[in-house]
Amino acid sequence: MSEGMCMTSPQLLLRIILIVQATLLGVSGLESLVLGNPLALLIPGLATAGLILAIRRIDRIPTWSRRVIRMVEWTVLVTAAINLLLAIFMNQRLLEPVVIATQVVAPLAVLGLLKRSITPPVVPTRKDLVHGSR
Amino acid sequence: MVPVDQYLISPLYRIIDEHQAAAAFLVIGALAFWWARKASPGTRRAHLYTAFSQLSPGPRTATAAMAFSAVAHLGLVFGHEPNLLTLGYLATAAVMAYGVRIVMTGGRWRRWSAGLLGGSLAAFAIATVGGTAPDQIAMLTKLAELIGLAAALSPEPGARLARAGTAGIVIVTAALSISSWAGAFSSGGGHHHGEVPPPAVALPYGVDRNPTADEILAAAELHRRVVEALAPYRDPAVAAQAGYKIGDITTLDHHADNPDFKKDGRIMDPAYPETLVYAAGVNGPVLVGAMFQMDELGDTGPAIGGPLTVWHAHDHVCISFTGITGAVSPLGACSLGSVAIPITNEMIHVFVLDGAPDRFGELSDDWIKQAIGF
Repeated sequence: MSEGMCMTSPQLLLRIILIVQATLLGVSGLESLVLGNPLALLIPGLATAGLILAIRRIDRIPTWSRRVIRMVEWTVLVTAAINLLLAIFMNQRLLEPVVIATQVVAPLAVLGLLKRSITPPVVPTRKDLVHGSR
Repeated sequence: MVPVDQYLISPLYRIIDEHQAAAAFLVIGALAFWWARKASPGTRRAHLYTAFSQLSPGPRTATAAMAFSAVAHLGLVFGHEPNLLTLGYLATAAVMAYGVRIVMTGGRWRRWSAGLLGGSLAAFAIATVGGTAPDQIAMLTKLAELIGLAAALSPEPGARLARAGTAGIVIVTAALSISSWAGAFSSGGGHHHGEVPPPAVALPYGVDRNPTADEILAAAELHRRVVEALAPYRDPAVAAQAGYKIGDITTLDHHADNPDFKKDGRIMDPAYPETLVYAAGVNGPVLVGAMFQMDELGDTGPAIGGPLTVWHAHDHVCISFTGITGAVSPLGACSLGSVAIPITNEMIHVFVLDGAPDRFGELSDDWIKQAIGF
């Protein structure tokens, strides 16, 4: 048996992508500081902080953490859509491969993994109710 | 032709010719994966796919990353002239393929994946910091390797070194981003790009030649006229009266636009510069020069002084409601809340400070500081 067999798959992958994504959000926000635009650090700073808090609760994924993750991912996706529209409007090449990977595929993957990570509440079936006492 | 193709831009935002074969290999690799997935049960193809899909998520992610890296590096071999570097690509492809085999046969996946993927990322960081500008294929491969490495470093729940693993992922991600920026700003000099513009600067294609005597005279005359026309604007209050949005001058290259002079049909008229450039001096603002802009996207500026007066545009610029927030990062992002502008109109600076080493190009902050007695 290899070393990682006991991990739950969606949560592990979700955690990996979120850590990388949170770091990239933080780094890209810091780049604005280099240009002397500290106000631009506000949104990536909040998003990074939100993701860090969510990553710490990734094993349970409470409702607030799901909301934070969804909000960040949808913001990234909407921004990518605006960028795509701008490129089309300005008669430019469409999104580059790396942009597609980090701004489209990654958030879609996170949203998908988030859905799979949430364990549905156990609803007793009729069979369980009938035979549950055995 | 799309406007950005009129310009030479940083390799960071395109796939360079030498890496087209690697792009093709990655597409073929994806198709091969799909082909294996569709294979009939009992065949060798189906066996390979089943072995992969039965891996737990950590090793599966690391295996996918190593396979991606192997295919990309194999493609690089075919895109370059045979030399020591292509031998390195071939060796990387071989060891990554070996890593895939080790993990799929139940070997110590964390150790192998971390070693191989971490080694490849470290080699990339050394190359970029050493002056090689990365392109889209390089960044895509490194992104895949980063995810694979993150899987290898990702701790087991409750593991003793859980925090160290997480810190490792953060450090490697930040280091990849920073080293890629370093390579992109090194202006080439790497193994195959030659001289390239830095990120977000788009230069027109042209012949590298010396200016003619007429062009030198024309450039000098243009400069003289601009110096004369800008003289009143040494006082920012006069510029503000003329419609320039001065704002707070706190940097060495503060650009003050005049919206009335944009799209006014006057092209490089010294009396109507679209933008004035000020530096924050010890005793108040100092007029550094002006910036002229073309009215429409894709219009080419008049090179009055030939190679002395080369216009440029900016590509992949990030802007938000707070202004310019940077350039699209090597890993494809503007800071969240900013959108990416693919290309701007052409523009040219004319500097009026006495003794400017480059009157139509770019002035370093150090030179400006010295010139204004900062």
